[in-house]
Amino acid sequence: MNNSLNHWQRLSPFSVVFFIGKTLIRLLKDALPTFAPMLVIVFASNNKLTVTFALIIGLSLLIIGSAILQFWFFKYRRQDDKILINDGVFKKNHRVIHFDRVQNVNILTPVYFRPFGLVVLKIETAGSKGNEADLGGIPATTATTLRTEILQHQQTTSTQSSDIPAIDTSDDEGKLVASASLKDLVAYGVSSNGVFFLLVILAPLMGVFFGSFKGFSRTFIEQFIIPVLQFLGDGPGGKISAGLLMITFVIALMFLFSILGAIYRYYGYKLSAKQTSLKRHSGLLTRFEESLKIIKVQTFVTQSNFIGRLIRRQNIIFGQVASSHLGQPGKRNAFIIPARTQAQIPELKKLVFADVPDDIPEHAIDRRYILKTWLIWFVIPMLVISGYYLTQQSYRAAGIAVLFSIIMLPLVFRRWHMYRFGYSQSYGIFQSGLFGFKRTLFPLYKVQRTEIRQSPLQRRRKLATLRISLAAGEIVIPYISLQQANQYLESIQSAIKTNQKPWF
Amino acid sequence: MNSQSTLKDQAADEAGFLPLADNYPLLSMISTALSWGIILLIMLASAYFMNWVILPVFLIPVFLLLATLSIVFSYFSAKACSYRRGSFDLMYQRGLWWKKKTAVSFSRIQHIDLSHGPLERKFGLATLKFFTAGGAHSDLTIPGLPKADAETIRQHILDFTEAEYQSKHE
Repeated sequence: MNNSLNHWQRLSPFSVVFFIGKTLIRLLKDALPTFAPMLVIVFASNNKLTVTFALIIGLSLLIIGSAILQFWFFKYRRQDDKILINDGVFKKNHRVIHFDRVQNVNILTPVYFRPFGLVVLKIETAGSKGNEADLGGIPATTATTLRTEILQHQQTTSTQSSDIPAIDTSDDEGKLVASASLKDLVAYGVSSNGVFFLLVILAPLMGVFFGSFKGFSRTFIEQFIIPVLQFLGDGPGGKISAGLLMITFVIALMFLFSILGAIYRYYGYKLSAKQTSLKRHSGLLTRFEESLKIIKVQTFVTQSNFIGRLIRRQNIIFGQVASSHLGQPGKRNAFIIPARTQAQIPELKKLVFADVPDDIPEHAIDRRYILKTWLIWFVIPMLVISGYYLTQQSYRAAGIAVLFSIIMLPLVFRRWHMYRFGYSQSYGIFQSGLFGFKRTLFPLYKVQRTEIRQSPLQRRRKLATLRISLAAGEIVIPYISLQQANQYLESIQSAIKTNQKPWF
Repeated sequence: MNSQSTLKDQAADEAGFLPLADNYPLLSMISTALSWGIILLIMLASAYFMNWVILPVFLIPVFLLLATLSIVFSYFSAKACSYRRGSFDLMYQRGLWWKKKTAVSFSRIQHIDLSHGPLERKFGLATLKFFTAGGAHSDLTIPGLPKADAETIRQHILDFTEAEYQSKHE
């Protein structure tokens, strides 16, 4: 035991840099729109340069000052089996983090801490979102000591309860089970769905960006975009190729960002396994060192988008307890293994769920799913829309609406085709997708709640929808026979009854 | 107006589903009627005090029809609810047209809320709410239980999880 931890400790003075970064990120995330009035002030003033300069100086002073204050009021210590943290400048926080509530202990080494041997210790708890700790700027040795203590504590309480063999929590790294080359990371960048989320984030930012440089973007458009458009011609062909060019450009940009993001986050990826825990090293500038106890893994997810299917790569996610609200799995809990080939998957599967059977028989869902989905989501809305256009006597628009609903039918069929479900006595598997896919494997005894739903139409056909709530998220299996749904539910209940292992 | 316990035949009826309290359909009707009444009051008040007619007079029959239908519906849907307390798990089914059956094992329950509002107190009823770790969609709420039954069920589950916890930590 490191005795100095028994007294209140301050972070290293270098942690001011960490707090500056944190404040900056928070400003960019939450307060970006509030910069707009500042820009207005700048543009409205007579002396733009001076005002800009003054604003920048003022803002930086404010950020640095608040970072210094945050550092000054931040104190932490260990008390028996908990960590106490006092912080807050105006609003004081007193946080108590019990070792046995800790979900993950991660050590980050940002590039600016590396020369000083400092790290950020991130403690994630399973409880509410506010109750987690970032100790930014503590010596690497203290961080490792604390982590070892937390893991050891959890081990002593959990080995009493079950037949988990004792592990050594020494710092040896264990067996290397996965690593990722630069090529793998590029594959991950293009095959993870992150690409599409990025567009959602990027779009408003672009708006703010162009909005704030109105004059600039006008010249940009005049000088670069207009000539291209003129080159492509003014006819419908020109418009279509301009549209295609635009889309290609945006998609290329998205892929580029996604790949860069993957390299930033997962460069030098190494996953190693000890008997009951996993450890992951990765990161280009900031080195991330994350550990995860295997018992805490709730689901084994393999997923890929359509590009991933072309290049035959899948990304693996170990689903953990989602702490975010509204039942959506928190992004920060994602423990990802990027870009695996089919051959690499069984070994990793056995790593987290040792007793998983080699193949679980899988079934398709009922065909009536196609008809129902197509009717409710496409045919009925299209009838309404085309009916409206017919009264307006715009037959072309009505025709397009009808055509659209017909074009959607193969997609609905494809979606139906991708649904797969199956279960054994102890494991369940579920797949869904359209062009890509997502397969979730989970031990039945980790299920939290099961629900069978039947709409009036389903009841006539003895069909049902099964909803399985796991701590890592929800699985909805639509349109299976009521009998299968009931059997599945019974299997889950009996698996929970017979398996006395802690689910978490 | 206190409700009789429905738990008595539990031993004989281990496998079967039990209905909610006898007077729960009545309570359900009253609370539905009350909420319609409040809507009506708001509309009347807005027409009377603020000269702002939300509901034209000719629509009043439609309104009354809708309200009556939904009150009748609430009676039958309350009657259609039933639950089963097994030795390891709890099941609850409900719904007239859209049927739902939910199962939660005792050992997955994180905590239990027992609540009784003013109307429920008058009827001697209580609502049990079970929380699991599966996020916001994974709660199970059973309304309309006789208060004593709700307490028995809660205690039963707490004893079960306590015993399980003890056996794991010794």
